[in-house]
Amino acid sequence: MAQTVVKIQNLVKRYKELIAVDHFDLDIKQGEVFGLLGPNGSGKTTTINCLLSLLDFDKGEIEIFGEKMTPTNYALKKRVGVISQNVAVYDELTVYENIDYFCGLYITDKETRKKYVDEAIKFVGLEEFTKFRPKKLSGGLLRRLNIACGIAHKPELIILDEPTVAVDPQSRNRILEGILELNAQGATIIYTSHYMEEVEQICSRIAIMDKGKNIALGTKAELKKMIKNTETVSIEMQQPDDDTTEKMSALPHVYDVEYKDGKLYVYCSGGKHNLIRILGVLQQKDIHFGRVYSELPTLNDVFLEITGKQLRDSE
Amino acid sequence: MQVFKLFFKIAKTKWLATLVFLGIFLLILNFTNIGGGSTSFTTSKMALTVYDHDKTEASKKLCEYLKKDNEIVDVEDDKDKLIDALYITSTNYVITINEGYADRLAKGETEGLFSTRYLHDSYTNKLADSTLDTYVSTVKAYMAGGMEMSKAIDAAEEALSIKTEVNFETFSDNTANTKAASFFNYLPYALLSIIVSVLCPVIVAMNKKEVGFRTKCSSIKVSSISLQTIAASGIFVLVIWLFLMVIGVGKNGGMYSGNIWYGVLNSAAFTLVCVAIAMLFSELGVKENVLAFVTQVLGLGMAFLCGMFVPQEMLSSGVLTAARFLPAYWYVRANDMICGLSSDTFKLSTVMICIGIQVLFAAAIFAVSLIVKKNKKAL
Repeated sequence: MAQTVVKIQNLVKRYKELIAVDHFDLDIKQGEVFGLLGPNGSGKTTTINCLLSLLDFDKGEIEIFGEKMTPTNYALKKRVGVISQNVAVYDELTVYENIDYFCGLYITDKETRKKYVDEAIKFVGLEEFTKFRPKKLSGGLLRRLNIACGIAHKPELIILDEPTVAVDPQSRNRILEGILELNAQGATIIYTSHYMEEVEQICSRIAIMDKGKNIALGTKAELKKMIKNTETVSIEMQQPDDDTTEKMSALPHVYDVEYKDGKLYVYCSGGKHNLIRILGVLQQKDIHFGRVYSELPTLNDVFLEITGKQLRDSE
Repeated sequence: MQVFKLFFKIAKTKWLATLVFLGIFLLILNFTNIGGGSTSFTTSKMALTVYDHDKTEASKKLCEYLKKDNEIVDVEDDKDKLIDALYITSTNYVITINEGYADRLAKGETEGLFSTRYLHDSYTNKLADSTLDTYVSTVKAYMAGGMEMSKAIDAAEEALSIKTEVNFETFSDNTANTKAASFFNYLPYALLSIIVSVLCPVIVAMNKKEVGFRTKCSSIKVSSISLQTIAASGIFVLVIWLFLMVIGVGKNGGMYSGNIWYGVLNSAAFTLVCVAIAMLFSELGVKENVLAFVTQVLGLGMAFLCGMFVPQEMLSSGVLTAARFLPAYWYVRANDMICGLSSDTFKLSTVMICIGIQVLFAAAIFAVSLIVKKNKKAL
């Protein structure tokens, strides 16, 4: 059985009257890419700050690699790499100097550090920009520099706190690929985001947070099984009459039908041939229709069903 | 030593500001020299044009008398040419000794002796008027005493030839002191400008919230970060201060002797004040573009209010009362006493009190910056 890398038990963090983290439990195993998903203000960053001992907490216990995390546990801090949502580099230093500086906060041996810095530069693909100052870099390159500064010392646990905020799709994909590569090299990853697509794409296990609570935890498949919806069929068509809507609703596994924005949405729970049956009703009534989509539930659907609100709406 | 090296890497990017303020300081030193200039007095000579329409012995003697201490400029006796000469200031004052001058003088009359032309609002016309009045009244005084006019004229000329010896008053006869005076007097401006405009942005950059987060997550001890930052700041300030002291030697050659060593100590105390101000500004997070403006306002404001550019003895009591609440006032006060620019005699106890007050100012400003830091953390 894989070793437990992070163990959070009954964590409570209050800001006066506001409970930012509410009796939060977490268990992350070695080699996992663990996603912490939740809207802004749900307590993700506060949890991470408590995990890193940057914030005092009111209750609970935090262990990393089986050791209690404290502000002065420098040996433990050496095994952890952090990439924050804000680009944290010095504008006055070049790309190389920045990576070398942050790596030097962990690695004192000059030769090892040089090797690690070169490897980090290669890993994020900044070889051509080593002498550039951050202000000369594009947003995507800056994010890559930010990542290089956090991983240069080869940490065993890497915490990425929304590293793709305000990043173009191309750079975002490159960052996500890089995270998977780091994981393949043996690092355990904690990835926080409010972009469910990213979390779905890279995370092996996900915890959904809302109002400081862990409201759901499991693999993607496990999370999706928690909800009623298993398939949503949407059809571009004119508003159907009441009889058509009734027939649709009466189909097996269909639990809701609604028409909005020029599309008919048919929500199904279970069943294998829902689409054929739905199209059969339209054919029977000789109704013309445009494009048809069959979508499996997303993490947003999971969040929506559990909390009653959209992930994005709650930002 | 990562943090220590980081300090100097960031400080290296601010070299331009250091050079600019050093340049300004050297320019000020070159164009001004407190107490280091001439100490002798020479009477200024007026350019006079004299027309003698009387042509008597008395009028000739007056012409000779005027020639002694003034430059006589010959201009053709023509109204337009005279006006041109006055306009281009080739002559300052035109005296026409009227016909009948000797007779009128003999009768003791003072009206109608001369006709004069001059440019208004010129100090020379007052001086020339005064010269003529003094001459005539002295001759009249001797004549009133019973002398004949020719003898009275000779006696008056003799009496008026007695010159008053004039010297610039300085409070020190030590040449080294006068050399050091201007250097130390303008030094606070350079110290404040360089230290604040370099140290403050470096500390602000190092304490940037985002980078601070990353540093706190690292395996370097917080105490080590603080120690390395303090050591680097201290070395930077020490190098700047020593460099300025070396400039002082270079400019004024061997000026460090005797009481001037107290001037060195005084400048070290003011350096502490500058460091404290830089710390406060960095805790307040003053942006670099605003910082340049604030530094100049503070530097020049203290320079004018506290007696760096204008001697304290010439400042009004109101200004001096207000200036007491600024550290530069105590610096200048000590410096004036050390370099002999003040009428007060040198008293070590007074100098040490002034230095002590500066150290207290530094401590107070530093305490305020700590409070700001604490409040920022609490937010």
